[in-house]
Amino acid sequence: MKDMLLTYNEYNRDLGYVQGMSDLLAPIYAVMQDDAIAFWGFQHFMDRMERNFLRDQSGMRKQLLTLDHLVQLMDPKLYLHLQSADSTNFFFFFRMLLVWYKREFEWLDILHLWEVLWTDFLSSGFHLFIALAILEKHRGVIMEHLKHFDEVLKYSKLSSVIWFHDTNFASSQRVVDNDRPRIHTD
Amino acid sequence: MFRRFQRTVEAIDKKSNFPKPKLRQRPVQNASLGGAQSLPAATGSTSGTDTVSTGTTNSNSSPRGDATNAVPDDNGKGKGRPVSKQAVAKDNEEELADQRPKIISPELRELLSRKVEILPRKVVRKEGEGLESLRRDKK
Repeated sequence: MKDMLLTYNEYNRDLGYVQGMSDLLAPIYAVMQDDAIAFWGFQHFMDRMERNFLRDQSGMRKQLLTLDHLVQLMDPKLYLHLQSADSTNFFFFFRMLLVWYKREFEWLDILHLWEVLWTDFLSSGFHLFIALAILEKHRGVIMEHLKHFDEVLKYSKLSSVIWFHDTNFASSQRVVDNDRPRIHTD
Repeated sequence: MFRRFQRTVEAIDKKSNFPKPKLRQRPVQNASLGGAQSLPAATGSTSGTDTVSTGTTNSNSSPRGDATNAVPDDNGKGKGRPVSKQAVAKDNEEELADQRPKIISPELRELLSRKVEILPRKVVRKEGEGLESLRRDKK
């Protein structure tokens, strides 16, 4: 892992190593079990993810802003509540978006989720719809119990098991599965 | 979720295709001049508001407004009013949220695209934290 990340640091001398990149490499390496293939897989993945690791955080800020607009459009009531709790910066989603929920979901779910996201079947920003689905899943708790920013942050960080347990991931997968042309394998 | 989003965006986009409805104001002067005979005709045209006003006097009919008040009255007399006030406040909030102009931002439009955004090297060179930037800092 370390060698691969160092190699990538040499390969992409503009970006360098930033915390979180190892999270993106680990599942690829574990699945591919081959240094060279895993490296090139990671390199291609980083093409789309390097915006998350810029010094000025412009890539992350843009995604958080998009999430802000998405919630405002899709669930105005929840948005108003989050606004009253000073949480519409959606900073509590920062880590989840940074490494595509790698630290929040369970290992097998991550493999599953990333494969879905890589298809870009409906949108190249589908990970933001996962974020919206998570918010909707926990809407009741958020609306009833979380009144301040620190409470929202605590709920999302400390209780990641509760936060992600049985979340809407399965239904988002179903959407992709239903729309995908069936490939019959014997 | 995505489908719902897509439909919402399409609905908002199509909204501007329709002409704006013209506001119809009630002919106040005519109604007052017309007297009792003209009133039933006027109320007939605006059925939405009239059902509420008749519902308060008529015990048999139960329009939406009364149905919400009837439930707390069965449980306790004192609880009816505060609940309804909260409900009204909530309704106002909902209305405010609904009345806000829904504009699809460019960021949201990008969500409809399947194209993966890859940053130009220039941007990464400028904002990256790689070896090149260390060299630049030393200079």
